[in-house]
Amino acid sequence: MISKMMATTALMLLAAGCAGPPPPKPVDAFQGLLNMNSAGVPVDAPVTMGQPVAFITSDNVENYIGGIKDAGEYWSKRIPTALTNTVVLADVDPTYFSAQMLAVLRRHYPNIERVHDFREAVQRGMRGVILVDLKMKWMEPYGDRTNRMHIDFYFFDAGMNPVSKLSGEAEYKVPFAAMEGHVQKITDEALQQIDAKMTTLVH
Amino acid sequence: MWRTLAFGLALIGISAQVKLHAETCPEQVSSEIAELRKQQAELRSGPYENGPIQELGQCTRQALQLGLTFAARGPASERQAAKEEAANCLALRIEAISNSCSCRQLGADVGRDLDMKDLAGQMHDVGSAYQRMTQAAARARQRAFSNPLIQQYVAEAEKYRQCYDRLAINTLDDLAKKLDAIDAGDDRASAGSAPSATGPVPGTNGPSARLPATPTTNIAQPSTHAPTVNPPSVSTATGSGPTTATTAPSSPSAGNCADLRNDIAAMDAQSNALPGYLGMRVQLASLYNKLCGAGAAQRTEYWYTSDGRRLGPVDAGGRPANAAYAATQDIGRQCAGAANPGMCALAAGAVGNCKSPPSDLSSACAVAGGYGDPSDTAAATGGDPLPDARLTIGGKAYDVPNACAQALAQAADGGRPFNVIKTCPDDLLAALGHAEGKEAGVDPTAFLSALGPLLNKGFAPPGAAPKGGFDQAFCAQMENNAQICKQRQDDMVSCVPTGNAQQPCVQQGNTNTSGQAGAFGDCYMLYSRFAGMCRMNVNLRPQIAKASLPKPPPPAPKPVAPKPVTGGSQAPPAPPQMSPQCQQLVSSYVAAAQANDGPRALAGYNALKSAGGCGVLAKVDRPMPKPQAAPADDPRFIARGATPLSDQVVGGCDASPAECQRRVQQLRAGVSPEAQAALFMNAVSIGLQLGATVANGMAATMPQGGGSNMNSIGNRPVQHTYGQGAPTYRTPRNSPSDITGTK
Repeated sequence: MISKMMATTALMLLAAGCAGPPPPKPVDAFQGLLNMNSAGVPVDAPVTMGQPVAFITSDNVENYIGGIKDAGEYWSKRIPTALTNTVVLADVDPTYFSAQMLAVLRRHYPNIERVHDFREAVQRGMRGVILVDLKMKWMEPYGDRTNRMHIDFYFFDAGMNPVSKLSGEAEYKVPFAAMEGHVQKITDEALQQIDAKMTTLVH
Repeated sequence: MWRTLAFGLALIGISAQVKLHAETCPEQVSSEIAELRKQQAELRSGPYENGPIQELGQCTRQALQLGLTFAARGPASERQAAKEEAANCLALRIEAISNSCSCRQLGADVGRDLDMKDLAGQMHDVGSAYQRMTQAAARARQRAFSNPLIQQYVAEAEKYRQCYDRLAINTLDDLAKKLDAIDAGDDRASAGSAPSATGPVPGTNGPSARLPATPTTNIAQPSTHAPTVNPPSVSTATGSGPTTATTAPSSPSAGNCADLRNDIAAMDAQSNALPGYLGMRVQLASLYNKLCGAGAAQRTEYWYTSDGRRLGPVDAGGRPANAAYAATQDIGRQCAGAANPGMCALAAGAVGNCKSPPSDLSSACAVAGGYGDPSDTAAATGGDPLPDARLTIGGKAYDVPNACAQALAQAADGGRPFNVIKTCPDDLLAALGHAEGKEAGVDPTAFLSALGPLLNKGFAPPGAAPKGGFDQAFCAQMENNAQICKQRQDDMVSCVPTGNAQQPCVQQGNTNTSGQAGAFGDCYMLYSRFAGMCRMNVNLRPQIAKASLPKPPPPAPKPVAPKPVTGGSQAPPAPPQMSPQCQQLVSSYVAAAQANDGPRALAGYNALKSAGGCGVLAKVDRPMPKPQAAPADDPRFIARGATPLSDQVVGGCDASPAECQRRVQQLRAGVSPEAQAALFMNAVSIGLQLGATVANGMAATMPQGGGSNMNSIGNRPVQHTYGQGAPTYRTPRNSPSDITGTK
């Protein structure tokens, strides 16, 4: 019984990400990129993008990846390797979000290119930019046990003016002692919402 | 009014039938159409009567489906709506009888015995049957793209598409069933069981004088108003399987160029007032000249041996044993000695190579197969020169020579209209100047600078019925088609012979504007132009018509009331008089905009616009300025710091998509139920081992005999009692399921 409890406790610690390093606080999607606020961007406005198109990932995406990395390192020092919850690690691996996000972008713009910031986009002659922003609310083991992913695609025209924002959001309430938080699932759901909106609204 | 109209229409029908029995078929049709058009013009003449929002009648809806009208739900008097409905019923009748001669040869009639409403229903049913057939064809192409039966069934269906009777519906449904019966195993099926084609077969996938099928939508097909004539089919054909013949041998159709020319002329007559018309007209003229400018002899393809020796014509029969490639004489000479002459010729447009193609051409033929065989096209026969475009300004039609049309189209696109004055006739310049209020002869600079906005506004005649614009979904489909054509153009890679033995062939990419890639380029340009015109006309008609109305004389000045002397501020002006419906539309739109709700705001905007703007929209609704590219040192931009993690993760996926997708598969497997079960079992197992190890460790630290006996100062030693657990023993299992963690 003791051993079973120990194993379960270790799993729960990992599954919950409990009491590890605090997740990064979300910032404005334009922070570090533009001297403006993202709040005024029209929501779900039809948009016609020029070509070529580039995409930029926001600071929140960088922080999201960093947060997962930090949590992984934190727990790797405290949990024996043999007890690592590989299911959770696979579920929260940021590569999944990256790949799926890129798949959506490429479905609409097969030749889309990644750029570091708007200055580079202009220098490379881009006629449109999509800024990808991600806000993740991780489950709290003793509070709101919901994982919630909110993704925004901000569309910029050739003048680098934000003309539309398309969003997708999905969540999953993690049951007690669950093995994983369905992060892959909510990533897919949120991106599918944006994909559908792009099909309708973006030309 | 209704009775008068019905009586008039009945008379037309009766007189037309009487005439048909007395003359030859084309004569009958021609005179009947002329009479119907006259009646149509009468119905549409006179001042437009405004009124409440009117619903569309059955004839109007069907005419919209067929692209015969631009009418849409909008404000009009009941009488005006009835006239428009009657005019559209006539449009349907004209459409039906215009094909009656060819339909009669097929044994089909055009429903002359039907009244107008029944005819609309019949046309709708034929359209639905045709759509079912195209959907079946799309499914068949997904399964067996290169099966020649598909194209032949579709070509057969094309002949019945515009014969609006029961036989056509049955035939189309039969063909749909046959298409559905084609399975993947039939990919190399012979054409032996294909339906017999009686006469010239217009290429359905390829260019034809009619708009190719777009089977995935219910949109209107602008066969008359906007004859997008030769773009390749962009439905579903993306297969890469081996291709056999793309078409059955066919003889050139003498009427194709003439049909195309007539369609363009019809567009000139009916659509020249639309914004964006000139740009599309120029594109069509370019295409017509390209396709119909050469005689059949110049386009005949021959088989060639690998050393460039000419064999027989491709249309004469099967592929000779010693044939290496097929090409026209011009292309044949160019490609002789190329590293891959078949590919060279195919890239240059000689799709005869796809008749029993060698394996190295299969993929390329699959792409080319989407375009069809040029021997089926208008190009095969040559055609008369295209007439000048026309612009109707202020009710008078003006000839627009091609050079002038190009200059005007350039001006409409925001280009520099220098050549307008040089290339356009004086009377046209005078009419344009009059419409602008700036005479070209007086102030050329002002005249030219006002030209673009004027052309983009269109030239709806004063008092014209406020017809609706194109459907948004239709415009989106046009844009999508343009993108598909662009993609196909990009996929075509030409192999240009260099004459260099070391590097015999240089790949030339999508910049190629001739041959197959050029054909896809034409398709792209044409659909783009049409999409542009479509966008400019989405629900714009009421506004355009309103803007074109003569301005009422200014009201007599009212006596000015003395200003109140008290108070520092002036009272706000009284709001304009607005109907309750307009007030509702405006407040809904504003509320949606304030709530930042894009879709609802768009719907509100469109509703307000289709209601004529209610006198307020025009004040604020100006075209969005084209975004200028931002400078790299734009002060809004922040020099971004390093993003090493995004570079590694997102950048890694961007650089190696395939590798990234493999990783995604692994990650998906990592959260599968199997992975979870394995993890849990592993954890339990490790936990059990850990428990035992800890316990053993504790035991190891205990003194092993000798030394002091602590019993004297501690509790009594624990004995072998399960309740408290002996350190080195496990409790016995209560049940087998304990170990699985389910209890």
